[in-house]
Amino acid sequence: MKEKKLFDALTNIPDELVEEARKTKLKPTVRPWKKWTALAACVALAIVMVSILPRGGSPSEGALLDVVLPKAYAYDDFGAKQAAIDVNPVDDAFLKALDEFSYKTASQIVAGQSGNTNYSPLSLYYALAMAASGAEGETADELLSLLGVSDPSTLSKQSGNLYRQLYTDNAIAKLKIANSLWMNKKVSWKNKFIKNAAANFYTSSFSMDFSDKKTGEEMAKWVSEHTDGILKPEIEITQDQILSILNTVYFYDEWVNKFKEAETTEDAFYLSDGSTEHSNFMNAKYASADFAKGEGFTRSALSLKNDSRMVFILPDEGVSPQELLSSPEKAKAAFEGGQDGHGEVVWQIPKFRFGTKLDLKDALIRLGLTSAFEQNADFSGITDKRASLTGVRQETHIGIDENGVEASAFTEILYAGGAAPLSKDRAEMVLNRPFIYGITAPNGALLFIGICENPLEK
Amino acid sequence: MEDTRIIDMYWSRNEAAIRESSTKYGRMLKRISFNILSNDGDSEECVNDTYGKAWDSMPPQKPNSLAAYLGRIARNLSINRWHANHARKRGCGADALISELSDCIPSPLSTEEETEARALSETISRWLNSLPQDDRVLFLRRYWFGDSLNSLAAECATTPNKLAGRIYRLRHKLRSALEKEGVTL
Repeated sequence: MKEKKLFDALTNIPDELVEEARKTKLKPTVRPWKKWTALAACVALAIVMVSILPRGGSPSEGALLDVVLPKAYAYDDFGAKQAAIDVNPVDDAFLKALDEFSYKTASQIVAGQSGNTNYSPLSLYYALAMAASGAEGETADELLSLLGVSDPSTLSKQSGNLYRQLYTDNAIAKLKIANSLWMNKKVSWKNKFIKNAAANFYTSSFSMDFSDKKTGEEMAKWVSEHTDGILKPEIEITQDQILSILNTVYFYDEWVNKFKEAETTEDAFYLSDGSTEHSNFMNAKYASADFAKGEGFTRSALSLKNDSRMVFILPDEGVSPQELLSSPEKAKAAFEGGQDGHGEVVWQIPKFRFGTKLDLKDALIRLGLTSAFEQNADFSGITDKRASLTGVRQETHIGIDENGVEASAFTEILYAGGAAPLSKDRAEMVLNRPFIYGITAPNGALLFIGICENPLEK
Repeated sequence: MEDTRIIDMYWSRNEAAIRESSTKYGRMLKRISFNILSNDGDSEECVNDTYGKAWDSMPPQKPNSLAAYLGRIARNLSINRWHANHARKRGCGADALISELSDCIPSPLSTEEETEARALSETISRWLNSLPQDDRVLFLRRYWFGDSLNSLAAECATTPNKLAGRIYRLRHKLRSALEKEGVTL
C-alpha cells in the first residue's frame, strides 16, 4: 500500500508540472544514430601444454567438471542487469590493467600482421589468467606482469566478476565467453586449479585420451558449439600433449539504429598496395555525434543495443593502420586520445566479414612471457608433472552488415533519431581505405581489435 | 478548442463537452490508462469512465488545466482497476480479501490522512521543482504518464539501458529527498 500512497501523491502534483511534462520534449542525450545493424564476432583461443608422459594412466575419461553459467537477463530487464553489475564489482585498476594488456598485445599482434586481422584481447587475457592461476615462481611472475595484476587470487576474482558482468544472452545480443580445459587422462590434476577454473573462469574440464584422434574432433566440436557454429577449427593433437586450454568469445549485437539497406552503395575501396576494389558501403549521416581527431587519425563510434560500442579509427591519408598501432602508447592514443569534437558525422562503412588465425606464441615471448614456453616452466599449481606451454593460437571471425547475420527473428525496437545539429564541427568517417576498428563492452573492456585492409577478403 | 470553453460546456451541461474532451485529450488519456493496465478493453472503459467522472464533478470543479484534471481521473480509475484485476487474477487469497475489505475504508479520506497525502504531494512537487527541467519531464513522463522506457529512449535518442540508469538515479534521488524531509510511508 506504500506504493499506492506514492502513486496517489504523484497523481496530485500541481497542474503546471503535468502540463510541462505533457508539452515538453525530452532533450537528446546521446548522438542520434540514424540506422541500425547487426554485427557478429567470435574467437577461439587454444593454449597447448606438453610434457613427457608415463605409461599407463587413470581410468577416467570425459567431462570432469562442468560449469553452471551465470544467469542471463532479458534485454529490457534493466533492474536485473544493474544488479548483476552491482554484485560483481570490477575494480577500475583491473579494467585499466586489461586496457593496457589490450594495447600492449595489439601493438605486437595486430600491427605485425598483413591483410585483414581480427584479434580478441579479452579472450587471450582470460586464457592467460587461467594459466596464471596454476603457475608458480618465475612463470607466474611473468604472466602476472603481462596481465598487470600482482596477486593471483585478485586476478581470479576479478576475472570472475568481469565474466558475470559481461555475460549476455538475450533476444538481441550475445556476449558469451566460454573456457574449457582438455587434460590428458594419464596425468593427475590439482583439484584446486580445476575448481578455481570453474568458479572464476567458468571453465569446463575434460579428461581425454590424446592418443585418440577423436579427442581433436571433440575439441573442435566444443569450439563450434560455443561460437554458434561460425568457427569450425581443425584441432591437431599430439600424444605428448597434456593440456589444452580452449577459450571462445561469441559476440553478437545490433546497431542501435539500423543502416538502411536501400542506402547501401557500391564504391571504391583503396587498398594499401595502391590498387582499388569495389565494395558495398553502408551509408549514414548523423547531425549530432561525438568524434575525435588525433595525430594521424579520425575516430568515431557506433552504439550497439546492449551498450557495447564499435569504434572506428580512420587513419589520415598516407598513414597506415599498422603505424597507428605500432606501440602500446600509439594504440592507446588511437582508441582514447585526440581532440574531442561534436557535430555532423558522415559514415561510409564497407560491409565486411572475415576470419583470422593467429599463432600468438612469438608475440607472447616478445612480450616477456619466456619461461612459460621453456622446459623449466613452473605450472605446479596445475599438475606435479613437468609441463610447459607449446602453443597459443587464436581463431576469430567477424562480420558486420546492415541487418545482422542471424538477426531479426525478434521484436524490433524502434528508436527515433534526428536531433538538430548542435555545432558546425563535422567529421567524415568515410572508411574507403584500410582502417582500424574495436569493439568495446559496456564497461569499456576491449573485446576485439582489428584492421580491415580489404573488405572483400574473407 | 480552448480548455475554458470545454469546461464551460460541462458547466452548462452541454454533452458536446465529452466529445470535445475526447477529441482533444482522448489519446493522452488512452495512453495513461493503457500504460497502467496494458489492456485495450480495460483502458478503453477507464477512459470512458473518466468522461463520466468529469461530467459528474464539473460543476462544482473548475480546473485550471483540463489535461491534468482528466489525466488525474484516468490515473485513479486505472490504478483502481489494476488493483482489482490483480486481486482477481491471484484468486481468493489475501489479495482478494484486502481488495474486498477496501470497500469498508471510509471515503473520502480522514482529515489526518488527507493532510498526510497532501504533504507527501507537496514534498514530491518541491523535489520535482528542484530538478533540471529535462529530468523533471523525464520523471513525470515515466511515472505520471507511464510512458515506456523504449518510447522515452526513442524520444531522447538513447538506448533504454542508458535511460533506465538515468531513471534509476532519479528514483534514488527522490528517496533521499523523502528521507531528508523525514517522510515515512
